[in-house]
Formats: sequence, C-alpha cells, structure tokens
Amino acid sequence: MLQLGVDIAFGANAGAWHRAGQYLVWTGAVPTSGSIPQILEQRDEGAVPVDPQPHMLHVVGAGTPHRLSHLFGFWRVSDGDTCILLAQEPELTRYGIVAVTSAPSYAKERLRFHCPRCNVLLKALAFDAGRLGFERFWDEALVEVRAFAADPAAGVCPQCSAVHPVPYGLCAERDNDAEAASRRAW
Amino acid sequence: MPKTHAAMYADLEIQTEIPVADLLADVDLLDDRVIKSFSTFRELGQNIYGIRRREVGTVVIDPKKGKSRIIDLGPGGLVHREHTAYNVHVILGGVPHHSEHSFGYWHINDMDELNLKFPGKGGAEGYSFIIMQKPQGKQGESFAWYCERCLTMLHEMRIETGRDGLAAFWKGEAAAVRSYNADEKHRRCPECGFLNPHGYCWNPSKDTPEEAAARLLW
Repeated sequence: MLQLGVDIAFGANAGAWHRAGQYLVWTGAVPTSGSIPQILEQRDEGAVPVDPQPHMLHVVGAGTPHRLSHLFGFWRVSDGDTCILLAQEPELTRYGIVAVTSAPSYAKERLRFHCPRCNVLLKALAFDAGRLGFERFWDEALVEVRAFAADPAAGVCPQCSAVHPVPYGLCAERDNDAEAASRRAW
Repeated sequence: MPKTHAAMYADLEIQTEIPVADLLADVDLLDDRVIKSFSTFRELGQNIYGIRRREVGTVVIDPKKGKSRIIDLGPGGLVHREHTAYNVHVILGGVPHHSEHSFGYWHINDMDELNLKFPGKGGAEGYSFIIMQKPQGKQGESFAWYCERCLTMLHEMRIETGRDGLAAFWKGEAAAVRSYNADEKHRRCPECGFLNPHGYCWNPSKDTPEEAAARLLW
C-alpha cells in the first residue's frame, strides 16, 4: 500500500532513528527536574553552549561541530543541517534531533574529541555516511567512542594534561556502566 | 539601531533584524524577535522553515482561520487527519494534501514536509513548524484542484521552486488560484458535472468575496 505520510510521537523514547522520508528523527524525553540536553557548538571562540530556552528550534549548520550534553558524548560534524527541538513542560521535557541528509552536498559525518579544558582537538574521524548510511555512522561512532576510551593516552590533552571524560554514544540503552555514569555527568 | 533585512514574497513583506548568518549561530528560531520572519516561509541553510504561533492544545487552532483538518488524497480516497500536539507528521513527496480553511487548493510537493506543533508555556499560544529541504534543479510543487464529489482532477499548475526559488511559491499560488477561479469550466467536473467551490490562497488578507466564502466552505 502506498504510504501517504509518517507519524512519530515527539518525545517517545525509541532508542533508534526514525526514517521519515527525507528526514531522520531521534526523539526522547527526560524529567524537567533531570538532566536536560544542552546544545554546545564549536565556534571561533571555542566550545560555546547555546542559550537554552524552554521551547526552542535551533539549527546547527552543516560543518558546525556540535554536541548535546547527556545525549552523545563526542563532537559531531555533519555535511547536513541539523535541527534541535526542545519543548519543556513542568514535568517532562521533550527533545528531538532532525537530520536532513538528502542535500546534494551531503557526504560525510565526522566525530571529534576535544580537550574539555583547553578545547584542543584530540582526535578526529570521518565516516562516509553518504555511501554507507547515516544510521551506520552512529553505530560506528560507538565503536570509535569505545576505542578512544580504551586508549588512556588518547584522552590526555597534550597541551594542558586534562583528562577527557568517558565518551558515550547516542543510544543510552547500549551504555556500559562507565558510559551511563558519564552520560549523567556531562 | 540594528540593520533591518527585508525580503518580498509576493505581496507579503517580511522583515527581520537578524541576518541569516546569525540565525545559524546561537539564535532560537522561536524567539519572538525572530519567529515573525518565518511566518510565511524562509530559507535557512539547506532547508526552508515556516513557523507560526498557534493555539496548540488537544487540537490546533489558527487564530485567524480557526480549527482545521489536514486531508491527504491517496489511492484509497481522502484521508482526514487532525492537527495534534507533539506529533511529528511527515507528508511524503507527491501526496496531494489540503488544509481546511487554510489554503484552498491541493498542494503537491516534490519535497517531504515535516510538521510539528508544540503547546505554549502556561496556556500561551504554541508553535507550529513546517520544515522541508530546499528543492533543487527541476524539483518543485503543484497547486491542484480535484472534484470534491468524484475526485477527478480539474486543474493544476506546477512551479519549479528548485530553479526559481522560494519567491516563486507565493507568486505561483496567487497565479494558480486566479487561473482556477477565472473560468467556471475549471470548477465544473467533466465527469460528474458537480460545480466545485472557488479556490483561495493561504493568506486571507486579499481574499475576494468569492474566495472568502469558499474559505468557509472547505
């Protein structure tokens, strides 16, 4: 049967990307009294938090390194624009990430690790998401996150000697104990 | 004084004090200073955004046009949907859709349209978004009319927004509605003989009396 549309419950934790036509949507919810995701971006002045609002639609432009605290513990750089949505109610805060990966210029997803103190780049990797798939990037990112965590030297800043916290992937259900603890912290 | 940026979309002038480069920095598009510049549609980066304030509760109500439903036209006929809060709905490309009392034609888009509505804080008006990828090359959209009794296609006008840009949408909409309404033959179904109501544009400010009457009907 021909599909006319796709419906996704905003805020329902599915632990997976929803593919809806030209868009990929990750959505979930947290108690408003808990750890609400905050958008951070790398700009000329360094790692900058985006001013949080109870209701927001923020566009992370293609090529901008960004991270969402408590959602993924590394910096992502995409060739596609990403929309971050937040809707706060007294009890529950719903969030969503909408990735648009069908632009002609879309080819790569990248992940980066920066020193949490001086922001120096510690490691950067590129993934051929245009060919291998967007969802696969997030699977591979978890592999790279764990490789980074397993190498004690990789997480020590060569400039200021700060130690990188344990990184974690997007899907909380796949966290090990150390990743789960780190997700709660940053 | 901040510099004002203005753009003309057919008869609607929109203004924003915030340049596009800044919108892609740390600006929340729901900020009251920003949202007005997206009340029609605006290109930003790789996408086009339409953002409006709406009463969003268990149903969604346009302050000017009232409550409406979305209707999709598929192989099985008409499918009616309510606008509801916290539901991401993506209208897939190629599906004719019409929003009652909001726009008086069937919109057929090559691009998928992502729709989402949030309630506002403490009973305030909420937010209604449409996000769609910017069309490229020969990609575009159509304004079409089908007989409301037997669903025979009556009239269609296609525009190539990939080539001509977003401004072509509002000009194309007005031209398509004028063209459809200009001749009763367009509205008279060649299959069943039913005389269909007039079409009307999304913006009600320039409705003719016939268009205003049609807006109340469908």
